Amino acid sequence: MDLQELKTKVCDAGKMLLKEGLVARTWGNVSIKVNDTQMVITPSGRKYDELTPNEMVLVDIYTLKYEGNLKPSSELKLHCQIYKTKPEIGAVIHTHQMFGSIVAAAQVDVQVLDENHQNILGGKMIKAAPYALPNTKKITMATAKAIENSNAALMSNHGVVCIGKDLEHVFDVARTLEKACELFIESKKAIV
Amino acid sequence: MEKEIAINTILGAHDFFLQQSAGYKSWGKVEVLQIAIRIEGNAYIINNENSDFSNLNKDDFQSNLLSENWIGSIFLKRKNINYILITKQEFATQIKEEIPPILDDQAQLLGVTIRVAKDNNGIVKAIKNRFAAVLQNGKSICIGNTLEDAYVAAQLLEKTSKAFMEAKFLGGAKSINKIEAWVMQQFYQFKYSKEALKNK
Repeated sequence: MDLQELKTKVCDAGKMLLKEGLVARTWGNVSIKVNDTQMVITPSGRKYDELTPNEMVLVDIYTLKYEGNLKPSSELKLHCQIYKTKPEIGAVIHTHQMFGSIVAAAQVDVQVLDENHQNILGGKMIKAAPYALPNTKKITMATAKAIENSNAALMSNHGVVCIGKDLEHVFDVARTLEKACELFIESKKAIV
Repeated sequence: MEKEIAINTILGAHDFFLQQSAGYKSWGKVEVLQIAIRIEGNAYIINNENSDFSNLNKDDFQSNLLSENWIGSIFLKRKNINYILITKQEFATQIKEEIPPILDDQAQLLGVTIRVAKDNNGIVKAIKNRFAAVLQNGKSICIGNTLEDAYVAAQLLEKTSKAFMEAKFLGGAKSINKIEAWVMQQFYQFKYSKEALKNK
């Protein structure tokens, strides 16, 4: 697949995030890996429904240098760190999805109760990375550690990050995480 | 803004909100009851309290001077605010205590905390340095420079309220440090949002 096709895929994925209610306005971001050293990511602070493929930003995973005049998403360090530490990963999305945000606000790990959800999320527990200010080295490293053994992690008081072998897979992970978080909350309500 | 333009903006707002709300479907229900818009002549225009927001006509509006009541006071004190929404929201309606900063996007857009105003006299104080406040009568106030900004504030108030209420079942939402929350709000308002406008 050539670079233009990859940019179109990322652009479409941004619109899909919005359509599915996983992000709102300019929050969240999505990227796919181009090769061992590069990724394409959504630009910073732009509304998804106004984006065009040519506005997607090509970034060097190791140097963080980017091509063109548009700044990449401010969360690019997290995306790069994940691609560096998990070379099998082909796509990353960061969202502020509702049920993930509820659990993230409580700063607790998610117990994944459904076996099918466990298979998609890659484990029985989704960890919550400790709180740190957005776009800092601290949050990047803490989140990369939290996602070491699964396909998703919560970012305390912030949102979630999901990873997959490609865009289709990572969307499946994000949707499943939302269902798993909702189920987890409902299970706690049943106890109260 | 001229009075006629403001009236037409409110007349078209129902469709605008319907279109906008598609992106927030998991956040709870936000119903806009009234819109106040700053207009020329130190005044504002607002649709009547009991008017059917989905079916407004040109008789459903009144204009008031900024000096007249709490809505005018907000416009007087906040020069960059042009729109005030009075809303009824599924989860914000249930909030009875101040919400600390529990989500980054809340801190960035709404301010350090979300306060509850006991009565109309307390609203101006409750919303100081903030973009949303909850009223004890089950309604909420959300403000912005543009209609879209005010509507986003309403949606984010709903998301934060839902997170605050539902997190109680998980041991309660944990607060971000308030100074860090304030820094984030300043960064968002004065740097990020301006940089984002340039990133084209």
